[in-house]
Amino acid sequence: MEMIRRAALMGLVVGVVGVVILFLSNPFDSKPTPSMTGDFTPLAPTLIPADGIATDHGLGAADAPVVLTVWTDYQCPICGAWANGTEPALYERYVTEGKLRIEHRHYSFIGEESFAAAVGVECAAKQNLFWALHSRLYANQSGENQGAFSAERLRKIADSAGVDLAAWDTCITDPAVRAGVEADAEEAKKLGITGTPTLVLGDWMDSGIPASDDLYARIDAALKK
Amino acid sequence: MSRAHRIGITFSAVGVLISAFILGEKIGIFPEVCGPAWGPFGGCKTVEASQWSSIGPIPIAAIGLIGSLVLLVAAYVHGRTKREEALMLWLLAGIAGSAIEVALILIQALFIGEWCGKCLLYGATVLIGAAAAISASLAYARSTRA
Repeated sequence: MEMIRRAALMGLVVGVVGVVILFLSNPFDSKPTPSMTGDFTPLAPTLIPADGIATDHGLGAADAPVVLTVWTDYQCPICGAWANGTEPALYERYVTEGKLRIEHRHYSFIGEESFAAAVGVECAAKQNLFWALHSRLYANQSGENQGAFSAERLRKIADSAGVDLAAWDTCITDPAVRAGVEADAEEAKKLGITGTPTLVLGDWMDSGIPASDDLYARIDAALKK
Repeated sequence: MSRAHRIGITFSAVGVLISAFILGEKIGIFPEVCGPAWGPFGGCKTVEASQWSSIGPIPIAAIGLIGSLVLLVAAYVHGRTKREEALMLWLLAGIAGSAIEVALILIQALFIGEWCGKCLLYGATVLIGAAAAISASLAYARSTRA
């Protein structure tokens, strides 16, 4: 009985140590975490595209031969990894060459802050500042439903994106804008999308971030068509 | 061989297969299985692409594979030989694996916000394997006390 007790205790210790190691070694983003206190200063976006490349809800020439549609939630950490890692790589490799356009759609589902962020971005889009706010939100993610995109912080991020705050303040209270964001989420569900980010390229659809080589191969194949 | 041993061996073997498959997917040997067809449990790719799917350079699936192999071998050896050391190893690995699996399930719920069906199935094999190890240990304790 004593040996069993000792083995159970050791198992518990090993398990707890394993969990601690998992949390300690967790490769969090090397970018600084934005402050959650009142003196919050928004961080700059990872990708600042060249003039004229960010238009409407996308990145890249409007007549690019390949269009990649990305459904995201502003609170989703993997979407942050997409926006701050994969997307800048695609920008350098394809977008600047005029080969690819990346279109962004909202699939807000994680919580109220996701909807508030998407509404804020739609209002920035009305001022032709979609990308400016969209990219800053991903630079300023901090947990889910913990206030990273509270009204106060969203306004500060919008301000840092150069948004006309008077017009933006009015716009974000417009129920039609919110309804548009909710309609996007409903459309995502109808398409069978269950998570974010979800990528759509032609008739290919996949959730998560694919391996770079796989994604490049799909884009290259689409370019050859 | 008792029913606890048979259950432990069966579920650990299934755990070995699932973790080997997930590892194969991760390193590109197998095609991705999962996605929208899995309904609410179709977030495998998001979970597997997340920062929680590895400890440093080591994929969690590789650790799971080793863990399930230990559970399988220990359950089998104890079932065949009744060696005490095998039972201790079975129990130790089962409890340690269960603690880590519970943490991984909570991480999917609280941090990632998506469910990976395959990962949950794997977690179930570990938890059932651990329950079998505890059952076998209690039976052993009763038999040595008698």
